Amino acid sequence: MADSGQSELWQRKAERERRGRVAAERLSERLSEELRLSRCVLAARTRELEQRLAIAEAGMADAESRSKAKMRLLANISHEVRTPLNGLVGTLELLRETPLLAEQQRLVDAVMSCVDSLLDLINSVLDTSRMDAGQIKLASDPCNLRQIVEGSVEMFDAMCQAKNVRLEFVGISDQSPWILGDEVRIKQIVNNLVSNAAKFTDSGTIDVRLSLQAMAIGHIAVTVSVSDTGVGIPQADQERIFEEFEQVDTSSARIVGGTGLGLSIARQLARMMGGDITLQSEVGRGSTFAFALLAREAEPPEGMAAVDPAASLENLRVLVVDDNAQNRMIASRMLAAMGCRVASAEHGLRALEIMESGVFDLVLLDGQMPVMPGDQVAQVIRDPKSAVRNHDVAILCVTADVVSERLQHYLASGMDAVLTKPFRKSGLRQAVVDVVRRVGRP
Amino acid sequence: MFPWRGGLGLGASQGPCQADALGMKGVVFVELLDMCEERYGLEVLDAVLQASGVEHLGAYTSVGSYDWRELAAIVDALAAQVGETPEALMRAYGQHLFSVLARSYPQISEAASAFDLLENVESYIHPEVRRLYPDAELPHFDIVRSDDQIVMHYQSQRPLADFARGLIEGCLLHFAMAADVEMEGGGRDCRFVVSCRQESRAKF
Repeated sequence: MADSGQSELWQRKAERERRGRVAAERLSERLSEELRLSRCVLAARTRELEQRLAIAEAGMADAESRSKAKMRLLANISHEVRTPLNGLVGTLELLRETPLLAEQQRLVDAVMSCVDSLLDLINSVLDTSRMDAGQIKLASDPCNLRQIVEGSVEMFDAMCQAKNVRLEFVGISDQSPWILGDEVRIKQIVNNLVSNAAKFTDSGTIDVRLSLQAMAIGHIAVTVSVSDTGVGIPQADQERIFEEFEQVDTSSARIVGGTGLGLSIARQLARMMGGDITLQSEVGRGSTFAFALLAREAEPPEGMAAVDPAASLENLRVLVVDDNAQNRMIASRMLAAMGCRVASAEHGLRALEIMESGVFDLVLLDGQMPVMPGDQVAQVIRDPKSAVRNHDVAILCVTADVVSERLQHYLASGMDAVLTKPFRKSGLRQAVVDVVRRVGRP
Repeated sequence: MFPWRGGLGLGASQGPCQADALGMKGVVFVELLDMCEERYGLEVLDAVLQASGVEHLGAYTSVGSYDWRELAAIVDALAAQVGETPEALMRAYGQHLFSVLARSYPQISEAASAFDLLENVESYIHPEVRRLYPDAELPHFDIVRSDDQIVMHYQSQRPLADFARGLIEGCLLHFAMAADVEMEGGGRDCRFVVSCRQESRAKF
């Protein structure tokens, strides 16, 4: 009896344990099922998120394509404006060389200054859009800082002299001025700082200092500072003037021109280079803008001895190819005035015909032309199977294009160098001397 | 008469239930049965389960959740069987369960002292429990600690103040801390005043 009681006891315990185990198993099954469902829900949620991501990416791609379309539009506008601007600049330069009364000379200078402002505006708007679209890429080539800064001082010297402001370059280092950088953009920054000082200083002096200090191996601390005795900038405005479309005095009564984009662009460029532009200023005493940069040292490139701009272009045989009659006329006249023997063609096919019978040292080739565009003309000239007599002629692309991909494309098609419209006589001369020296005369 | 007594109709429950105000983790049931068997023998446990009227004769699994009133019914039946009060048994069971938990969760022993652990019931232990069982229904403690005293105000949907007291005492025992636990109130709302005895002060 006692045994059977014990046995029942143990049986019940065993039954309890068994049921507990079954309950645990059921629970485990239920949890597995819940887990499976959770996974399904998670998968559905993941799909939904992926769809949303796809929509967002499509939206972004759309925005990017809009931004690119905007850039294309701006580049086209820039191209279309530069072409007549080239006519304007060239004509004015030619006009300047005719006998003029003092009053007429002043009027020509005034128009020239307006043209400069217009060009500055177009460049600034284009740069700002490029920055917004993240399309500015910096080159890293050897460049000579001393040349850049001295060049800038030279450029604004006449403007300062006219106002009786002394503009001086102060170089304070024995360090080699060669660094790796983007020459065009560094020039743009320095020119902006010097031009601002020249614009806003009515008396006194402007000191442009270049300081170079060797740092850790292979690096140079560069500072270009521009100190003026101009109007000065109130403390409250010192950050604002670095913003887009900002100048200290935005009233309609302001005397100096400008879009208010230049300094903002300059600072953005400086920051892209890993540097910055800073300002110290006191109202009534003047301002010092300093462009500081840690750059890598560069070896002076071989064979880059300064080009002698006075080199003789006497009897250089040049073919000017441009569909715009006025631009053709201007380039031809400028080159003739430099002593060149000039022929011209109104489109690419005509140019190729001329080159089948005549030998030239240099072709000035417009980029965008009807009938046959410049890049195709260059390809035919370089093709040894074409009937052109001199396949190795120097080709200088003269274009209103400023989009760097287009410029690269021109160079890849066989052209030797690019000159951007509008250009001045001095710019044309420099470009011609440079390309002829590089390519050589046959 | 204890708060959990009366009108339970326990026979109607369907095995592991959802964790809600009634639900209590299965480990609390399994360990109660183990303690019962260990201390009073299988015969007593069997009789207790038969007398308590709980479903399936108490076939619990530690991973399930069950109606807390079954726990109360078992404790009541055990009390009648062994001639103890349910309060004393709940308290003893709380002490026992703490030692079981301390073995299962070594993190508990990482606390610097019993007071440190008690002080962090709301900030550490309960969040950890919720992490494992998001729908666990836990009591709430308002805790004030001073140099030699910790006051824990217990509020719960289940009148298990004695069980909570047992857990607190189990904690003190685990950290070998000599302290007195005074209860003010009971059931669902109770203040525990845990005072350190002189000889234990150095251990703070």
